[in-house]
Amino acid sequence: MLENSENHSVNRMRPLIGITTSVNLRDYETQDQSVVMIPESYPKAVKEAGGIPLLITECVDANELLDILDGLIISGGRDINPRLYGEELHEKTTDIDDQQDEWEVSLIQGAIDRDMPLLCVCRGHQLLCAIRGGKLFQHLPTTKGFEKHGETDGKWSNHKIKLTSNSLIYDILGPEVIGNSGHHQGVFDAGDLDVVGRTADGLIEAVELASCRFLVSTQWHPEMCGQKEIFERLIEVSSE
Amino acid sequence: MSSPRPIIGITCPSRPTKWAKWELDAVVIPTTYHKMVDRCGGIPILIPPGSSVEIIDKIDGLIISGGPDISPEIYGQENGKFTNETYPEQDISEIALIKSAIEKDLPLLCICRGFQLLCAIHDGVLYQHLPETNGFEDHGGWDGNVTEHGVNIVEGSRLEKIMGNRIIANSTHHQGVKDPGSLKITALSSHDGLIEAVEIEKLTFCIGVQWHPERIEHVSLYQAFIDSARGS
Repeated sequence: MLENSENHSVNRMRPLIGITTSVNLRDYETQDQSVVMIPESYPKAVKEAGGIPLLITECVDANELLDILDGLIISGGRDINPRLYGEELHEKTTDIDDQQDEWEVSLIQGAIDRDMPLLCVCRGHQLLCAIRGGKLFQHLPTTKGFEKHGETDGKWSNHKIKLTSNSLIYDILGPEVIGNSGHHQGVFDAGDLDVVGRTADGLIEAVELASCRFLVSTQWHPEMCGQKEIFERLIEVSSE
Repeated sequence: MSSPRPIIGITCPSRPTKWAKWELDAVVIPTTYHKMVDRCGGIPILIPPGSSVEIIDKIDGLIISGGPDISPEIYGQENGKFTNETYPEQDISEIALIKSAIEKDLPLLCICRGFQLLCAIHDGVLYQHLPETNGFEDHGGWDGNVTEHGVNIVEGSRLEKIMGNRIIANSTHHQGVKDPGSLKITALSSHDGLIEAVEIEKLTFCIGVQWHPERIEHVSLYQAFIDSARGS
């Protein structure tokens, strides 16, 4: 029999963690419908770490959302518009969405202004770096020195990332971590952010801002790599 | 400063979905749901399956959205051969959310699957496949097709006060409510008499509809729901 197994004996409200979503066209109920999407691994990771995941959508004003939330995750997704870092579109940069870029930029800036705990993943990591004065490589497989960074043809690969001592992420994960790679763009310059993790080829895989209570940004997907500790720390700081 | 807009939680399904070059489990819901809430004055937030009922204390109104078939065991039946894949985790968390919303008298709008679930947990029973059910073979579109039909609304119901006594509704479902249990029927399909809407009168706002008001843009229904959530 279906039963609600939830334990109701909770003393205090767990923190609300907003997770950005992407809009795509998919065959869903009817053909080519405009749908909101997010891999289930994100809300699951938040839930398992003790937070309450809320999926947020791009029509809503960033400040209105930040007023509700205790913490924020900018999730992975499509390429960002290279205009954000002063470049023209490369032929391999596709499927950009200016409305999504603008909305997430407002969320990131608002979260940093409020010192709200913020985790940026993949696309989120690239967007954070771009708006802090950084730049991206638009296509790693044709970028000298990064041709073998990771699979981009429908396969994920894993690689080691060395983390910098005295950083928040080092404190959470230790000196070295295995991250996955399913991305074709990468961070070339992290602007004013602290670079705290790189792969052996030198790609910038993790950045932080030491002035924030919690700002962790990763090129890889901690929600897919079982790095529960990152989410636990996010929830812990969001509960303060 | 204007007062904050009410926060409207919208439940969502999760299913295997194509994502770039991969296929993975993803939460997916048509954008029409959150856009209608935003348009009618609410702040939409999406609640993934498996969510904690604690969220009820943080929202001002709840929408149980359309989606996959509910598990027939909820209304005491075996899976019929036309019942599609079910998602028990979503069933469980949505049942808990509906019960908590009703207990706390939180404004509640149940759509399609949500309507069927609301009826099922009030001792109702579903037809598992209308196209094979005597009298409802031509109810309307399903399996990706959308059709429209008339709906007659019961006089004196809350729904009638909001929408009037006759509307056009859309149809894109293959299951239907046979018996709404303890709920009050407030609308019937004009061509075959299928139950199209129910409500719980003693609550501030608790309406279930078989059709998709977010898709056919029934602004009056959303407006009334969000006004209730705002407490006006």
